[in-house]
Amino acid sequence: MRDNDKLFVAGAIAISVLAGLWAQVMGLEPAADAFIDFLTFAAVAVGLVFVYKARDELGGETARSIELLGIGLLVFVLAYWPSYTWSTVGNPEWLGMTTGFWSMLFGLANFVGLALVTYAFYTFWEMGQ
Amino acid sequence: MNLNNKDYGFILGGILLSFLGAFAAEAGVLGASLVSTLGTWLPRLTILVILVGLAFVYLSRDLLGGEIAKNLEVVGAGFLIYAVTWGPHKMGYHTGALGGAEASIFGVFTPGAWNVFWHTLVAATFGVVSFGFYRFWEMSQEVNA
Repeated sequence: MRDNDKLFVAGAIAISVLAGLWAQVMGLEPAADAFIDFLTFAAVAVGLVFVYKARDELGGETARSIELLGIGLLVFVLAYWPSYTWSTVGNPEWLGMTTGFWSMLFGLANFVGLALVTYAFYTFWEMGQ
Repeated sequence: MNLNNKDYGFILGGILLSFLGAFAAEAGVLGASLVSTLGTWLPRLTILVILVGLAFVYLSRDLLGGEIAKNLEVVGAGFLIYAVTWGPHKMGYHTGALGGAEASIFGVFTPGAWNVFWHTLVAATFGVVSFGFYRFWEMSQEVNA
């Protein structure tokens, strides 16, 4: 990593700590905070724009690995976004489906999304061979 | 798209599996106790699968070298934070840091503070991943410059 990459990582952690302290001072209660979970979706969406823009110019195996990373993240975030809101309100029956349905759908889709990310990392490694 | 048929197979198969699992639970094909066990173990397996991916990032760094390796490290750093903080995050729910602060070793801080901290951290973590993607895009501009 470059020095400003490390700064970015440190900044991301620092912002989370500050947000937590802010909630402590403000006396906030845990809630189905759709806004923060939307931020996760937004953060991933910004990355996907760069994946989309970078892939054709990179071409070949690098583009393929990047596309796999992007699709894995998309599957993950589409499951994560509603699932955290759902779990914060106590895993209810939702939209006519049982708790078991949502538990399996979110659990499996989270797993599948990150398994695709791992597969993408594997293709990077394969490319290095 | 630059994906091959095997890649599409994994992607579509994975999505199909998620819906099959969900409908099997809904229809009662999977028993309640099995659904409950899977509900506990799937997130753990998810973290395990990330760690396997990070092992590949670690192994490819020296093989690939240069800009690709640096960018991959940024993406990997995001996933690493997600993987290592997932345990304490869940522990927070289970021990009552989000609900009964006194019962928790994290009891100094309110449940609301933990809630906002963890969820901001997940958002920030994926901000790091996206920053890695931005680096890849930046690299693609240099390649074509």
